[in-house]
Amino acid sequence: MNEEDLISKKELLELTGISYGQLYRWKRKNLIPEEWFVRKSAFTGQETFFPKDKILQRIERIKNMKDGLSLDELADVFSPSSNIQSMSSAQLIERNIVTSISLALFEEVAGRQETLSFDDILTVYVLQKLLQGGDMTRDEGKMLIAVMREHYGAFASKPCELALVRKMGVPLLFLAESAEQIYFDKDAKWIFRLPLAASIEELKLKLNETEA
Amino acid sequence: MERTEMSISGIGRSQGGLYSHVRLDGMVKINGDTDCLSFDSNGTLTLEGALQSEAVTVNGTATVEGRVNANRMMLDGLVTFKDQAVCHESLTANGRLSIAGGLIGEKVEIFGSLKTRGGVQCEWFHVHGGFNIGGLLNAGMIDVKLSMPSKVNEIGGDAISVKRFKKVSVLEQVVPAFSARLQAEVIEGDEIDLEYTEANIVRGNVVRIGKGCKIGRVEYKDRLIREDDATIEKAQQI
Repeated sequence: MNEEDLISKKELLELTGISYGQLYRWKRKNLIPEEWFVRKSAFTGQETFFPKDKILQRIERIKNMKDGLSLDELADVFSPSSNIQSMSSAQLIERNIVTSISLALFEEVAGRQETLSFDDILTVYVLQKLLQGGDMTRDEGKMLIAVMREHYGAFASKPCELALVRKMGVPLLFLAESAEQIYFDKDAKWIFRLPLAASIEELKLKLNETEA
Repeated sequence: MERTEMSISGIGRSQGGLYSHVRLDGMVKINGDTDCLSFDSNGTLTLEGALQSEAVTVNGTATVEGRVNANRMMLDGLVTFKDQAVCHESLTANGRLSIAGGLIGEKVEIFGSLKTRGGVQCEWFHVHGGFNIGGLLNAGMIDVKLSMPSKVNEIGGDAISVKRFKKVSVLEQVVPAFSARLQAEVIEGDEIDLEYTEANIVRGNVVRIGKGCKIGRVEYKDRLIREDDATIEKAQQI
C-alpha cells in the first residue's frame, strides 16, 4: 500500500466530523476492522492511519445506517458471516430478495431445494445482480452457480471476489481472494470484477429489513 | 454428553471436560479444557487448559493456561490468565489480576491491580488502584482512581477520568518512582479529565488537565481547562 492511500486519524475525524469517542466505540463493536488501524511513526510519535477509501466509505455507511439500526445490528451487516443461516425459497421470493427467474436458474443447476443456506442465497443474489446488469449470459450464470457452490466455502468467510474474463467469446469465471494482480494476454477481456463483501452487505441489509 | 458435578476438597487432581458445577477447595490441578456452568475455586488452582463457564468465582490463587471465556467473573486474590480473557457481562477483581493475552469485557471493575501485555476493550472500565496495559485501553466510560504507579500505551474512549485515590504517602515523597501517577503515550476521547498523568499527546473535545499533569501536546476541539500546576508544552485548538 503506498503513502497516498492512507489517511491519518486526525484528518479522518476532521473530514467526517465524527469524534474520537465514536471512532473507538465503532472499533469496539467491530464496525471497523482491526486491520485497518495502521500504526506508523510520525514526528509526534506513533500515529494511526487508515486505508483512505475503505474507511471513508465505511464511515459514510455507518453514519447513514446508524439511525435505523443498532450498533450490534450494524456490526452484523459488516461482518462476512451472517446470523441468518438459511431461508426457504418461497420466503426469498415473497420478500422480494431474489426473483423467481434467477432462482429457477439456480435450481436448474443445483436441484430443487426447500431452504437455501446463506451462501446459496448469496449465490442467487449475485447471479441475479449480474444477469440484470447484462454482464453475463445465462450459460455463464450456470458456471457461476457451479463455481460458487463448489469453491465459495473454501474462503471460510474471508473476503474474496468474483471475476469474469472472456477470450474469443469463451468465458472464464473465477473466484479469487484478490484479482488485483492477474494479467492476461491482450485478446482476453475483463468483463467484470465483483468483490463479494459489498454484495454480502447489501444482501444482509435486505434480509434484516424484511425481517423487521 | 451429560454434565456431571466436580467437587474436590483437599489436595487433588482432575481431568478437564464437560461439567455442570465445579467446586474446588484446597490445592487443585486440572489438566485439560474445562467447560462448566459454574466454577468456584477456593485456595490454589492450576488449570492447564481453557476455561469456559457462565460464572467464575476465585478466592485465593489461580492460574489458567488457556483462554478464559465467561459471562460473569468474580476474582479475589492473585489470578493469572496466560491467554486471552473474554467476559460477556461483568468482571470484578479484588487483588491482583494478570492477563497475558488481553481482556475483552463489558463491565470491568478492578480493586487492586490489572496487568496485561495486550489490550483491554470494554464498555465500562473502573479501577481503584493501578494498571499496566501494554496495548490499547478502549472503553466507553473510563474511571480511574490511582493509588499506585500505572502505565498504558494508549487510551481511547467516550469519557475518560483519571484521579488520585488517596493523599500523597510518605514513601512517595522520598521515592518518586512509587508515586501514584499514570503514564501514557496517547489519550484520545470526547471528554477527558486528568490528574497526575504524564502523556505525550492528549486529544479530545473537552479536555481538563488537572494537578500533577505533564502533557506534551494537547489538541482540543471545544474547550481546554487547565489547572495552575499542570504542565502543558503545547496546546492547540482544532
